[in-house]
Amino acid sequence: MATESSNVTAVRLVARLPARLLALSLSGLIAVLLVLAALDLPDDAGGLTTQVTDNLDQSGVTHPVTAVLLNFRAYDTWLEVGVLILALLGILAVQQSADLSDTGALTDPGPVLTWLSRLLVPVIFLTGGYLLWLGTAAPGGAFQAGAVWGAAGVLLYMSGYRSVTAMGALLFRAAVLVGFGIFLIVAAGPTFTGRQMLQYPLDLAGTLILLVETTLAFSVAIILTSLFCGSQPRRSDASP
Amino acid sequence: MNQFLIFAFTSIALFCISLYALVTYAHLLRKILAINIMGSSVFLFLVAVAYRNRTETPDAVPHAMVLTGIVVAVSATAFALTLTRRIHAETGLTYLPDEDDLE
Repeated sequence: MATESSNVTAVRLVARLPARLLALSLSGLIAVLLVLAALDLPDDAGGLTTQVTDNLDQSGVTHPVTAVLLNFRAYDTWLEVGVLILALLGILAVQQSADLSDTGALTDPGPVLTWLSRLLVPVIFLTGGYLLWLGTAAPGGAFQAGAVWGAAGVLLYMSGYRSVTAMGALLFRAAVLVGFGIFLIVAAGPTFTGRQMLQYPLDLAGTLILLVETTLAFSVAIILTSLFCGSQPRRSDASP
Repeated sequence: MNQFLIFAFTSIALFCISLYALVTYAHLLRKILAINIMGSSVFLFLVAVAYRNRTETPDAVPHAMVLTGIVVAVSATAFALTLTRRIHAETGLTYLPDEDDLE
């Protein structure tokens, strides 16, 4: 049924009633099944807490979440950066360009935003760097720092300054791929010395994790800013 | 009804409500919002599972999974929004026209 508002017949963009009832009943069924599954979880399971705490001193860091992210489950983190790059590739494909130098600027940001971004961006860089360093002992690490730095990039773009939009294609690709590439070298390196993939040597674990985290944070920041700037309309798309 | 069950039922309710919204509404932004809320409800469930038995330290593995999931959700949302913008720029519509199912 189309709802009429004033003189315009507005289509409500919703499925028809039988389809809605079917969707409602199926969602309700899924809800019931999930509730039964949640009630059925065993009572005294601590998960993998004991395994993590027992092996924490061999991981190279002292914070359990960072140890899980960058040592025990480093494969997930590594491929997560791959997913980020894949999303960026999708955006570049949709925009039909190899880099973001064609991105249009937003409309006039005004003096308050430009002044505020000049004030905030150095502080944001410091905060991100601190989070990156803090990851070994407290909540922090590569993705947190990368997200904070990415916010700085978005703030710069909204204020009219150029950051990722000023990079040529080669530099852009290098910046995006350096995190994944260094992680690839660190992951595949042990296989050349007779170990498994991602099996860091015990005395170098902390150093390798810090190296991987730094390049990862830089790459993630570039990618996150590009995910935002890449969705903006391009200058060549604008009507003359 | 302990603390974990409250979080679990909330996340299940959010998941199923947004699943319904994903299927029912045709506007692409609503679909993207629904997928985001489904993702957030799963994160809520994972974080609740991590602290289920009130041990001294919460289980670190679901926390790491949630961190990974948040980043993946953000990037997928960015890609979906770019596609939506492109669809709107090319066709002028904000929904995928399929006139048999819509009213």
